[in-house]
Amino acid sequence: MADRAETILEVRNLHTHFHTESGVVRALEGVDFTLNRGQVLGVVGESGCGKSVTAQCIMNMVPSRGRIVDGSVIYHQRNGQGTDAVEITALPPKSREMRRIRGNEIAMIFQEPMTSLDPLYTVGNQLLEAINLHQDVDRTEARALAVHSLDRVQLPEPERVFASYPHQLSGGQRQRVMIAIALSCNPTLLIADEPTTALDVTTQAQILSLMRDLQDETHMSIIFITHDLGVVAEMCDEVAVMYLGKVVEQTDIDTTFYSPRHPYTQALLRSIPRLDDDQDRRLEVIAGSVPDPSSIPSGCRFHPRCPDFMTGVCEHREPTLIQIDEDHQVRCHLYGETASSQP
Amino acid sequence: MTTTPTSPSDTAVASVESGSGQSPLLEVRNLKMHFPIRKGFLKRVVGHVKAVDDVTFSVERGTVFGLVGESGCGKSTTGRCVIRLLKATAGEIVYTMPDDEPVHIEALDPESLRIMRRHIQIVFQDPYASLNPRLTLKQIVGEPLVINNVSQGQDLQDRVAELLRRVGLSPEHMNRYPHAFSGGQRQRISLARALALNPRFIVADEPVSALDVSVQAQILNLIKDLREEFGLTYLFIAHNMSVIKHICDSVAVMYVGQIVEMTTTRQLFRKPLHPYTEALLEAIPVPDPRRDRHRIVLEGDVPNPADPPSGCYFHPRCAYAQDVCRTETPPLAEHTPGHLARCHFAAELELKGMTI
Repeated sequence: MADRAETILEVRNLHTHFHTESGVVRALEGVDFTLNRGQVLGVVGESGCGKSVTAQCIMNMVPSRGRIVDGSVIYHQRNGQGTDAVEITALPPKSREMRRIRGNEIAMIFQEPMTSLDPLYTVGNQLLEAINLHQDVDRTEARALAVHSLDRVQLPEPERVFASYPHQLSGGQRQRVMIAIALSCNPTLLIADEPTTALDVTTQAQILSLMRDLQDETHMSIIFITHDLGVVAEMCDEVAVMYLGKVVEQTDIDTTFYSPRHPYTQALLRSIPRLDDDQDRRLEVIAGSVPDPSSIPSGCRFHPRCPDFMTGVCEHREPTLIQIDEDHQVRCHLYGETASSQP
Repeated sequence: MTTTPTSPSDTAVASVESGSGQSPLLEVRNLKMHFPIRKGFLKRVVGHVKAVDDVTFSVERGTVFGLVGESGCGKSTTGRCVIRLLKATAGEIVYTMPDDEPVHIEALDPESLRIMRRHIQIVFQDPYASLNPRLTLKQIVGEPLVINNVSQGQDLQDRVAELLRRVGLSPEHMNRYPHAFSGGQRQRISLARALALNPRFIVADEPVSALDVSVQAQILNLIKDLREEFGLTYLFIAHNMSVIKHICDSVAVMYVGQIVEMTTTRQLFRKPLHPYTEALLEAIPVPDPRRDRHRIVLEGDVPNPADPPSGCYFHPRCAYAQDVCRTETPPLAEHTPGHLARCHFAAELELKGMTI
């Protein structure tokens, strides 16, 4: 899809901590990934792995108790000839520059279309707010743009939707409105945080198909955050798998599903019920459950649940992200020097 | 653990033609649950939401019967009517007792209902909302035993320990509160509580929907194991077709309060007869990147059950709809033995199933 591999976003060694009354919660402890222009990157993981916090860091909207303590998010912004690298994490969250990037360059849609739209304003009002804030247009132009963006997300009767309040729309229609608002200023990067999780299957299929169409049309880059591996397989070109605040594996979609290397990715794929399963097959399970973020295991965070656990290594040393192939990184001792030096 | 149930009072027991010892464990006939819509100062009834509208099915002993559909289709309401958390507007719910005596659940008086609940239990979707945060595990799991005067003292302690062990929790944690447990563990607690009185039938209302993928697999396996071990029968309510496929023996697909198709799981996936079932199967995201990503997507939204469309409720979204569908409501008819569908053209359409 991309003309050539040109990086649009780099997340390097990101560490974000939350200071709560009961201590420091280390939500992100090493998130690394790269997104190429025009690609769809899936960020997958179970609850509490830090997927949503990662999105907040990219938007530079970490809640007040949280702080980015290390690492960086670098956005490569296109200008006339080439690109400028903007270090998002270095910008003050409320600065003029950051506010310009949000919306114009990077936009976001959230999981709950019910709570992310304001019930007191019409859809039109909320769309116009985004357009007037980011684009230099007069009233008639703004309105035309707004109606056009509703039309673009395939909402029937865009004029009627424009004048409606959120409660008059169904869940699927609300999510279309959210997408319309996000895309109204033609961002180059869209962050979609579980955009279909709250929707029914048939509505989910509609929204996924719409997002694919829009991506084909605009060639925008998308970060698609989800816990559903089925959705990942349908939407993404690249996948980053997260576990407890760290990216444990990043590679292309085919490799993720057909030759994953990290034991967590492998186990996750084996544990999902599939349609082509034999009914008598027992689902393979990952032992235990995701640890509480305030009591994180030593060494590799996955070691207490790992089927390939190596005594003496995994519980003591934290694995680093290892490049095992041109486009394949894994955070696991199985593929490091530590593994080969073991008897 | 043996609990000898006392038969509910005779007044509540209506006669049902007794099968030859193998009558289904549960039969639901023409079940209706209509909620009134009230408006205005006088709260006059201005209409009804037909949440469940003429639903008939039966659950055979030792099997898992699935109810599947999208939100608002009436699957949970059906489940709640079955265990009488809701009193149905009309219809019959007949449960066969261990001595083969049929009991009409919808007509039970409060005392008989209380006794009946030893046989039928429910597990809810949200393990965060369905456990009382002020009670310890021992109190939660032991409560049914205490209320029904089954057990107390050391015996109660032993039974709770055994139940916890059975669902994969450590008995030492008996004095902890629910907040100390993860979602998957809480769902195990709910299962232990449901099993306390040795029931024969469990209504599982979306028991794995709120759980993470890796934990979902653990709970599904546990539900299967418990079925073997205790000879349980389940009414399994879910919206996820892959989960249904994994656990159910037969399935009913619901749409706007009605069953639109009902057959064995295998048959339903292989050869669906109703266009809605086809669309549901088509909509499932498949975890295989090599599969073709572009496919037919069902348009529109689920209609409002207070104001359903004329004729076949599915016609505004159906790709195969014809004039007759707009005017005439199709009956739920048997097309091949044991395969029912509510569609005028079920016999003619060649719908796409899955190769399984």
